[in-house]
Amino acid sequence: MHELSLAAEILRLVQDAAARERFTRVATLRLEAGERAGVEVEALRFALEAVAPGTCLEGADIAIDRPPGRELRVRELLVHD
Amino acid sequence: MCVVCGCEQVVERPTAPRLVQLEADVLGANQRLAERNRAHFAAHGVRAFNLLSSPGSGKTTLLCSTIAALRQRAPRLPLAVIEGDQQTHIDAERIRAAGAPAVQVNTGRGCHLDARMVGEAFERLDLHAHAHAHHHASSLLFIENVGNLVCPALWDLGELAKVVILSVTEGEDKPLKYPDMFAAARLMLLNKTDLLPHVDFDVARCIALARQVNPGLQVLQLSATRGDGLDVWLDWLLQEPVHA
Repeated sequence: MHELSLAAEILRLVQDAAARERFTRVATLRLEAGERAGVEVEALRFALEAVAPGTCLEGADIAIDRPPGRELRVRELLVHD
Repeated sequence: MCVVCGCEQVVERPTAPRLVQLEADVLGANQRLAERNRAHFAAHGVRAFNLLSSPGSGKTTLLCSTIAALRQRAPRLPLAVIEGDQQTHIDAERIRAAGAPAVQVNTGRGCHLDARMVGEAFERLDLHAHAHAHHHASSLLFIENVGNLVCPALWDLGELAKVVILSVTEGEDKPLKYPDMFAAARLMLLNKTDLLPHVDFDVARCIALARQVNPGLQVLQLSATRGDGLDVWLDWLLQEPVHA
């Protein structure tokens, strides 16, 4: 269940970016979760949908790339002002 | 002006979304706090160990036996424990009864300790004050993580080494089932060896499977309740250098 902690951390990174880059809504969130990052992708997706309501992530499409390796990163966002 | 009918109504056309590149490490904030803890521990001569296992492997019993044995062998060595559990102060009370200061961290629904929790707990310990009073003093800090073989593997706490505890009443194939944890550990302690005559557990196979996941993994066998192997475990604890 650490995916919920990771989802909260991802939301915080996105909200920091929203304040810095001045956007209000995320259309697409693109993540990278390496095959050996210790993350269950479906649990992470579920957790992100759980923390999204009422935030700029509400309704966002979530794309998760799975390259080899241990990286867990927020790669990029498609956003509306 | 409306481009379709020429009326004066202003039409809001949806703007195309723009791209914001972040390339941000999700665990970056924790990692920065872990490095801060690591520097803090090293500056105070504190050797910190992150103890990890599933619930019921005997972590707290092992810590109580370890504290008692260290009191005999190195009576002047300051030591302390940070106890992580979702609920209750039961484990911290057991540690205090065994003779070491302990701070309990309750994670609520959280399944692991993170670097912020450990940093805050460390500042509440006498070990921290002691190190300030005795410059370059050496001491041991045990961090007993939440009983869970999955989630705590991801969160660096600033420890010198992760120690994974597996008891012989569990499956010998656990290293293959939970590879992230065994890959992250420097030492595996095989606990409850006094029960080996009563259980179907192949020690050699377990160690081979663990090294399949982590070829550099060190392994010690012990029984926390009977005391077998504790001396070698104490040697390991006292010899691990402050700087990894």
